[in-house]
Amino acid sequence: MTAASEDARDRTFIEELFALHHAEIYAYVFRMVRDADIAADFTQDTFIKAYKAQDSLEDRAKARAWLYQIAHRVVLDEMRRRRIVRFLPWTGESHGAAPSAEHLAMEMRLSAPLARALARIPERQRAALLLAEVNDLTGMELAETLGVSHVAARALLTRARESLRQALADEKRQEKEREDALDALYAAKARGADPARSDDDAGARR
Amino acid sequence: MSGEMEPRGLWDQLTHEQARALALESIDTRLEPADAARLGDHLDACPECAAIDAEYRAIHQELHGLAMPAVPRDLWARTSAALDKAESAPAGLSLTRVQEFASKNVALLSTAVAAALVVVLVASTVILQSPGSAPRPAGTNGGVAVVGSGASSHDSESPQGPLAVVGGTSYWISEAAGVYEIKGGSDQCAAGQAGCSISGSGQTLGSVKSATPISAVIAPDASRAAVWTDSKIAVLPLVAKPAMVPLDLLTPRPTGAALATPTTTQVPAGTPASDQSPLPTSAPATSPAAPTAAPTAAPTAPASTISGPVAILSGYEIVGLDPEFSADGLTLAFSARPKDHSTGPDVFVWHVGQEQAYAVTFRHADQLAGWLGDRILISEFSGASASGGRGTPGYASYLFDPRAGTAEQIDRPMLLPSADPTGHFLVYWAGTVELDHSSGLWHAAAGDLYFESWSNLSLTPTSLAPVATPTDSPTPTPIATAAHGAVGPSEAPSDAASAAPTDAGGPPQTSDYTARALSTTDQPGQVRDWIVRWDASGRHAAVWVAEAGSAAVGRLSVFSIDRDAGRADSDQPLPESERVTTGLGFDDGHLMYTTVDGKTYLQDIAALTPATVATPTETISDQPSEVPTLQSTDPSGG
Repeated sequence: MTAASEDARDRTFIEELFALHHAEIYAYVFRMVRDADIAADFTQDTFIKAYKAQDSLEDRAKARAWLYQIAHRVVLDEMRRRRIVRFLPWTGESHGAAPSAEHLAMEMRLSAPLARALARIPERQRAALLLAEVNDLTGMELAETLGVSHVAARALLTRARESLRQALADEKRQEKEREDALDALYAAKARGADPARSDDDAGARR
Repeated sequence: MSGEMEPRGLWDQLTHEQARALALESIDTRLEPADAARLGDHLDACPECAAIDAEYRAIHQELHGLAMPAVPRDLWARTSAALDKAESAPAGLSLTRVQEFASKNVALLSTAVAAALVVVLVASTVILQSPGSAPRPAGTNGGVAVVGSGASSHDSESPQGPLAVVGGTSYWISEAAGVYEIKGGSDQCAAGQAGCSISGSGQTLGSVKSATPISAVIAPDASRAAVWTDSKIAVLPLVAKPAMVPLDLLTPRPTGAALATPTTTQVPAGTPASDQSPLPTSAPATSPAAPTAAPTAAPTAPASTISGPVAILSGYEIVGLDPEFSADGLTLAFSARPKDHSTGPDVFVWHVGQEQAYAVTFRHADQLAGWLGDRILISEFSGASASGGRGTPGYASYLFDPRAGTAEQIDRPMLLPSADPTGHFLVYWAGTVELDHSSGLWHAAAGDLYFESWSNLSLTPTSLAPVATPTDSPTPTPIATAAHGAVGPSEAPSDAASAAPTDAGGPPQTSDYTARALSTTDQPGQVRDWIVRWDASGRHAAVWVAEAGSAAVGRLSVFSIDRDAGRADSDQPLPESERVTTGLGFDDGHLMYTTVDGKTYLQDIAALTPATVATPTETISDQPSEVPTLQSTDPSGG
């Protein structure tokens, strides 16, 4: 086989993988990075890396898990790298950059409390949850993607589920507190007493 | 857990912990019959465990039922184009803009190579740009030269994007095996030249070892750098052949309760006095002097001459803008909050020679906006308590004098104002704010940037002393006036500019205000993430505004300031203005910026001056009253 034909075969294989899996890879990356533009970049990067690293795929039947493994590494590497230097020379920290939980919830089609809770759990746990729950990876695929044993992957997934449950409970409690506070505010206004003008609050501010 | 079916006696009952573990396992696994039976028994007898089991299953159902997000329509086209390049490119060359963006290499490039890369860059940018964005005309970027390239291997030691260019010398940071080196290129980028290259090797001027990633900023005179992790801030001198600083072992010297007790920051009296720029009009002299931040004794001014690396704050994380040195490079200001998020952010100051930084605000809702001469601009959110941001959010900005410990409130609601170095003008944001629940911080939600003359603003002496119970006030009063700067969290209008002044966010709507919105985006009223940089003369302002949905990529506009008229003229977008990353700055008449493909450019600012705006050559008056007041607001900025 000539180099040219080998390239052609390789390219075709990657294109087939793209056709089969680009949507789920993009979905996973998007839910990890929560930014459509960056997710598209990372997805593209995943397939370029896959193209270059075909030799590392021993069994094409496992191509899906292999792709997820590449995507997972791209996401974690880039997230780590972006934290190293935030691409903000001089004093250029971007402010207001983080999308709100409500915005994320809308884009990710999650309830807002669940979106916030997901954002609170550790990255690896979030990855395990998304891969297993949303992207339907099997236990073996999850283990291969995360680069750990099957037992370790199960343990990570279990911890992730418990972390998410606790975070969600916390989010819901906070949301209820906020709603109660707003209700109290509206009730006070309805009674004609504007709490914003109360002595306590005036003193509390300035 | 055993899979054997056995009779269930008392000894065989599950503990709550075991039951919850089995409940988790049962979500996507078929349990052994014995385990399933024991779990069923336990859940029947334990309502709390049953509730938790129900929570697990509800979460599972919600996650499992999620719809797939829409895939960008151009994903295949761009991936295919990248594959085309991958087939023809030599091994090791980064091919995607992500990689290039992420590893902004400032490798040494000869002028010839740089020129060639300009062509490559233009071609690749056209391919990779989002639909609808204008391609860059290759022949219209006069005065632009590539000074850096992101074409580096992803896995090699990759010098990161430039931290600063000072006097034509570039400074950047590189990392290998947990050792971060701040490097300087000393033999290139001569001042005033449009084109130059940056050395990828450079000279190591600072060396830090850290188990966690660091960020850094360089003082304007490049004499020192501030570096920080997610829990520590340190300052180190930039010198030739530096010793490696083990950041994790570096701890602030204990100096009492400076952080816990409100104190007046002591910047040594030797600090240069205020410049002669026309700073904002103060309130009438009859106003009482603003109380200092605290009546307690101030920490002792530095007696020692600390010249080596010093950890100035530990257990805190930087919030908002990056730390910023004063123009003389002697004082560092930053906003930070405790690592455990037990309170919101406050502004801290450190001066050369001091052993640690000191808080200058104490209401846990303050963020650094920047320097104005030897004073510090601070923005404060109200309704931004650490307890969850209850109440009606608003915002206000202050001018704080760290030497005197006095503060003055700017009479107009504005967020993170950026002052031009001469003190005549500022650019500020106004709009609606919202609480990001994941970070617990308030931030801009939707608004616009406005250009204004300081002469149209007034200041009122005030105190930045702590409130009595800053974290417990359920309904804090908005700082801003009733007409501006306050909007309820749930009723924030999507288009703040269209909201009624009485309940809308800050965009100036009427002739009450003289500011005009800067045309920085195709979506007026939707600016939520921005950076403003001024050149030293105050004649140009570079404004970066994030693209919708992105925190790292945005549009760069450069505004010429007609200082005689007190006006920012219409924008003159750079040919490269689209898809610029957040790093930009000025050096010796050149604007430096980096595009998403990792290329860094120097743009001769003189080439950007619109024909409609004459560049004044005469000395600008220092009298604010001579700066004319604009009479109307034009949201389009025209």
